[in-house]
Amino acid sequence: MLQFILRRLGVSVLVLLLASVMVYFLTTISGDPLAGLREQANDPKIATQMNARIQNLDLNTPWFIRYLKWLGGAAACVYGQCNLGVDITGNQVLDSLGAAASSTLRLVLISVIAAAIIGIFVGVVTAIRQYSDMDYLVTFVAFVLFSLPSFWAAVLLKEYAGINYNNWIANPQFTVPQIVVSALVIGVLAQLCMGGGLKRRLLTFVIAAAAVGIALPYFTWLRFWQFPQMGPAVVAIVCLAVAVFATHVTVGIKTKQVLYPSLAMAALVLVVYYAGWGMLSEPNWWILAAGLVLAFAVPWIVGHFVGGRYKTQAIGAGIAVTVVGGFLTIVDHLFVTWPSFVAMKPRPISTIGSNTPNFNGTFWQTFLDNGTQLLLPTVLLTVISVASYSRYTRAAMIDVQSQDYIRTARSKGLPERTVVLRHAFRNAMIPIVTIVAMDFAALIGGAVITEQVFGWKGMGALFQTGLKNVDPNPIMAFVLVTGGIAVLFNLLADVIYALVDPRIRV
Amino acid sequence: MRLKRVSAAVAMGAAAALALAACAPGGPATSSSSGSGSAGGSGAPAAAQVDGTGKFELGDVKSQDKEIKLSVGSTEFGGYNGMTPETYDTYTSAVRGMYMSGFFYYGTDGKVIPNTQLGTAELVSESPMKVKYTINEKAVWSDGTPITVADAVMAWGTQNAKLMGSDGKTPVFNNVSSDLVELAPKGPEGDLKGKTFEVTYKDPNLDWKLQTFLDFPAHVVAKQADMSVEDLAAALRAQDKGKLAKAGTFWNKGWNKGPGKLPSKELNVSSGPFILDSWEKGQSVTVKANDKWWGTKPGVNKLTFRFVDPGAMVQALQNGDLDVMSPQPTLDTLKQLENLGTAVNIHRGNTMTWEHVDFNFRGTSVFKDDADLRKAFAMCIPREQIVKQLIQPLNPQAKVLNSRVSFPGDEDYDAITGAAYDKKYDSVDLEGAKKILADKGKDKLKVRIGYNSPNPRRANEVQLIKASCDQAGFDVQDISSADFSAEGGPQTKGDYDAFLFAWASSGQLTSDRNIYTTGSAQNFGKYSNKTVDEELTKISQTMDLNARVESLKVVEKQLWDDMFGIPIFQHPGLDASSSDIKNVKFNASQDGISWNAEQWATAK
Amino acid sequence: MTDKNSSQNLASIAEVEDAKLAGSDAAPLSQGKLVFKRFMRHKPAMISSVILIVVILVAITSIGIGGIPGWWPIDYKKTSISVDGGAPSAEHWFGQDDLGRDYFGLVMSGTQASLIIAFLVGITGTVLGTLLGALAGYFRGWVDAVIMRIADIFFVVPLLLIAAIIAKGASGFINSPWFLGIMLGVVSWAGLARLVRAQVLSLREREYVDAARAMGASSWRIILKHLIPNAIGTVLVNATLAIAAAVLLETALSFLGFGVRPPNSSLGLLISDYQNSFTTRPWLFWWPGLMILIVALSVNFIGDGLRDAFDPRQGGRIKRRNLIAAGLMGPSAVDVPSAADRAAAGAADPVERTGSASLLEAVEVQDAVEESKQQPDGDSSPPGGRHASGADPDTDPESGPDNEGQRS
Repeated sequence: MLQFILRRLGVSVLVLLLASVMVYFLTTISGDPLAGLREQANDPKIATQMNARIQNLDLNTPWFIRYLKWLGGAAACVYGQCNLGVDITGNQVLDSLGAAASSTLRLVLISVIAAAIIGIFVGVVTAIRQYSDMDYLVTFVAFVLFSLPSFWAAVLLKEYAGINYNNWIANPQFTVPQIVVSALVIGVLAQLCMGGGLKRRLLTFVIAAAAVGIALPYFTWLRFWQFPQMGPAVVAIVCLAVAVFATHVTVGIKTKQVLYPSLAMAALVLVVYYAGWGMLSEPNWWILAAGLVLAFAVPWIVGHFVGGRYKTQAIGAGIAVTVVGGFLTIVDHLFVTWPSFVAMKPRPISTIGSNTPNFNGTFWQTFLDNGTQLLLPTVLLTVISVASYSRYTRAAMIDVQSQDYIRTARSKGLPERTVVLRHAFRNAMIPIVTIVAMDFAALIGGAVITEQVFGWKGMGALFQTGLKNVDPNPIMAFVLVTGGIAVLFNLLADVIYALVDPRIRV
Repeated sequence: MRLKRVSAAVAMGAAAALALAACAPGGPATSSSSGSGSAGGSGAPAAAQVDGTGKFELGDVKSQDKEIKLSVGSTEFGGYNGMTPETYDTYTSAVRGMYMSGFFYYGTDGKVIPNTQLGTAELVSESPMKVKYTINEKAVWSDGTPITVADAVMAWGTQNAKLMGSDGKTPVFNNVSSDLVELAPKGPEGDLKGKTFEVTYKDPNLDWKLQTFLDFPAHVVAKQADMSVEDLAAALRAQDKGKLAKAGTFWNKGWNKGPGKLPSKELNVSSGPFILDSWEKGQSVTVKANDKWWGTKPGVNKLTFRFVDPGAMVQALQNGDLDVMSPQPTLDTLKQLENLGTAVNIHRGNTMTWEHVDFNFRGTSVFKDDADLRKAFAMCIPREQIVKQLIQPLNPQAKVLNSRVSFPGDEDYDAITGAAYDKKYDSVDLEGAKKILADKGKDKLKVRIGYNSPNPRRANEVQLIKASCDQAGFDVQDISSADFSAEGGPQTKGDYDAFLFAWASSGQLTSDRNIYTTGSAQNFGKYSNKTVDEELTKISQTMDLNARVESLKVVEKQLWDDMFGIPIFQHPGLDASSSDIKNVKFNASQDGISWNAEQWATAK
Repeated sequence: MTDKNSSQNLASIAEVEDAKLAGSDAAPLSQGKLVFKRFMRHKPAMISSVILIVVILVAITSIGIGGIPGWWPIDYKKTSISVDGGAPSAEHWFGQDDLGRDYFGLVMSGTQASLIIAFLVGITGTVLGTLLGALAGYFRGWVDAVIMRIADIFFVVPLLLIAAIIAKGASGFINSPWFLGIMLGVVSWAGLARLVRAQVLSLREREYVDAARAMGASSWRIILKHLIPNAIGTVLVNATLAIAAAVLLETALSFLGFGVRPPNSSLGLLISDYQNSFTTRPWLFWWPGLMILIVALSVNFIGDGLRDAFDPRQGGRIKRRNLIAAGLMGPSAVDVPSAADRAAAGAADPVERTGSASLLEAVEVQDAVEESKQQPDGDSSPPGGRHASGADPDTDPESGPDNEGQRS
């Protein structure tokens, strides 16, 4: 196994090396680094600047010597002595890379997670209901999303989700036509999704439309948009619902070894909700991280001891409850913070930047600030990725559902939920997880444009200013990161495959 | 289908809970959101401007405790020391102007105006040329140290590219401005602790107002170099590279630690109305009011320069993410801004950058030895149409430019063009051009126009030129490329006929010499004429402004007669501010919209 | 066939479907005709084909091409003073731009350029990818190693970036949609090569290849006459997706300033020039955007239809229950347009998707995979059949790499 990994690693390093030579060479011949200065004010200062640039870029040295110098510095990263060279302004690239990578990774990570969750869910549902109206609808929407130029979509997103929302939130009201149209649209979509016969479709339409028609004015009357509230009752009911639902889909509602621990977890969430309110009003990242660990550890322990022969399911259901409960608790804190946040930032959704300059708020206010700044670019990247993930998942699910073992499972008389969730879904997940992992590196490349439109200075800016200035070092840093991530995920995937499939082994 | 029933029940329960849990509207019981910010009695009294193009005379201002966000572009701030070649650009200079005072500044029309808050400067003798500076008695650095002659010596002594360090290759002070020591070898003379000094120039220098005599704090540099201020000043006056080595190292690197890293408090010292407050890499840099500032207090306590892509600026302004912005002047940007109605103020005007077509006098050029052909081509260039279609939509006041040595805003423009230009090229003369071509026996004469692409406006200009000149019998070809003027590109090789580009003027009175004299670096087409050389040399050796104008008349006439190239228009400038912001005013110079940012106030 | 049990079902349904398609024809249909018939039954693909053909015809005939005049009366290169701020009118259907040029003509010329780029990318990338993939798969050994390592480079560096760097470099001396198309094609072959290689690796062990070899056929003949035709489904589907991707890649390059430049035009250039026009002069923003959307969307649907046509097991309106019962879905069911369009749209890059097998020491994996992968003769379904597996919810390792490869 070790030999296998080492061999893969060796090949990957070779490929990275080839890629870096190619990119370095192409960058150096891609233009004239002094072009911007040649046509400027007739000013003696320009000559000085040209000399400085020639020095910073080491232009009097042939490109391959410069490349070797760069390679030497980059290779030193192996033992922690990284030197990725200087950029056109003489600043260390390594310094810029840290901040750029962290801001881009934050953006891409959240987008990938959101897109994976939504995309996989949509994919599974469309696979189960293949060739239904909903399936066609989703296919069409997915292809439309694929075909959108992202900067084009960004302009629209800023206009409608940003500026118009901000205008609206100042005095949130719905006009009667708005309510009627939303109700009708959602009604139509709901009946498309639910499908069934004419009668059932009609019923779905009426219920969905009525719900929307009532909810919108009701929430406005509650002043929910300015002063969102949820309260313990909602948390409790949702947690209970999750507990019951999780038990139901995994082993059936009558299995007490799973139901009871899940219900206990729901109760626990409520206790933590009350007991931890004070602490969570002014938390820090450590507290939240600890909460996350507990959200997994406690149900694991409880499920392990109480679950009996269903302990896996008990643990799973318990974790579902605690995670949902924890999420809702955080949301409730954010709800409570929202009015004060809007007071500080009357136009909450920003069109530019990764945070509001000089924003000094409490933990949750800063959290909301970062969140609202992150919102539009994340939505854009997510929407584009959701389309592909949903298609992959659908295909994988359809593929898996036709496998012999699924047929066998059905013929054994297993209930449909068990077949779908335990046999089909789990196997379909294997290729999907790989794709999601791969996508991570690819999305960093794609973030170049998204970052520019939203005024983020991440990896994309690094690449783009590098290319504009014909400055190879920042570009190489970019390639190093995307290449490194690609190789890493690739290796992980290889190893996982090798572990699960004995045929792929040395 | 049990699953469905259960989930439906759960959903109903949840909905009911939502309704129960939140059965009363949220928020404070009474709607107390009056919201509208108090405009504040202080600040914002827009008053008369000093000599029409200078800053406002605001009287007694109390700074508002508000923040104004502006963006002049997406380029990262370079660092506290914005005078190194690496950090010197208009973006960094805009911020630097907030915490560094100078004896002069550019007015709205690009004229140099004295900054009396810092002090005065007067020409006391023309031969030898002497200038006397007096620093305001109250002037202090933000750490309380008085601003004195020692600081002037500091500013002067670092501007010498010839003072090489021990390696003999890199200058001791890596200053982008590099020739002041050469121009005024003795430097500022006066008591180091005093407030007045005199500078004697080697040669007459019309551009003396553009020279910098206050830059960086001498006491900070001295401390970092472990010297006394007196020793430092003495070493600077002697230009002693050995003693200055340590000071030079600090000057070059000590302030600039990389993006996002402000210098420590003792190094971050200001002589302007603001002082650097925070810097977030890639996002913004903020300056706050300098409480030791002796002059008129700034309008607001905080200014934040955000680094925003010009394409994203309008929506950002619309959304309140920016209060003042300086986008690319395009028709759509302008229209977008106009659509915002009274919410924004649009500031427009001519900048000091001017577009022109220059001919090539060497290499493979068809215009090499033939002034008539050059004139024929000039006749068919639709200057009027270019201005009307491309520039006037952005700046209704825009006019065709008829001078290569002055701008319409200059008082001498009319005199110079009146003497040198006979209005022959005011309108397109296709017949005249055709005739010349016919006389020369040329038909479909291939003309290669180049420019550095991508540049949509120039692409459009060439389209218009082609449409017109092809009718006259030329065959215009667009040979633009990304490295048109790069080393080894068509321009350096002389492999083109005409070059469409722009010069950005920095208000220098003697800069024409670099462009039109024989063999000078920026004379790209290798034009050469004895009269032009002589007259421009005269200008660089006189202090007489009238003599300068007379010489320019001769030069301009010669340039028209030889058809050096043809000027087209001044670049339009476009800035915008939220209508809440007061005292924002367009500036034609490279200082741009933030030139008087300390005077802005907000009504938010 | 792989799974004896399910394949009977599979065969029965596919045969029934094909028999229906064949209609009353006494003689069985040839492979090509069958595929065509199946494609005709794919409604979205058919509608898309019609739309695409209309778009192409209008783009060509309206303003003409290569000096041949079209039916559109206004010369789009001619500048004039805009009427009514350039808003669309009876004379100027799509309005006028900054210089008063007719925007309909400009959009049509942009469409021509974008289509040229798209088809050039499709053709160049497909030819290169097919040939190199086939060579790698057929010869194995060092040929394989060299080709696949080069392909891996495109996996490590996102395509958008390579394309941007090359386009910037090229902008110094050339400005032509033809060049841009070929250039993008040259850098976007890696995904297809990997796929074709995988398929050739399995095909080359077939009896008919052995037979050809025994009869003295040259390697080239075997590759060109026997191997590539059998991989034609994969290749065609991929080509369509590459075309859709190229439209968007060109748009992204134009946005970054490295695409087609004036005086040439393209949809990407128009839309990035006028991205801020949508509140002021919306026609300048929407028309090129809509054209991009229409072209990309219809090509994607055509690709979808082609895949279904080549792989009947997942196409058509067969009842879901039957499908599941018969186990008809192959891993190639991943019907996602190439990731490249997402790359272009600012999200990803096609080569990135080319799968986890990419950096593997390919031969070993293939050896392992091949054993489990056999395909029905004459059925040119894309690679990656299923390996027989029992009731044990076994994993399906090669469906991962194959799936991904399929997409690029």
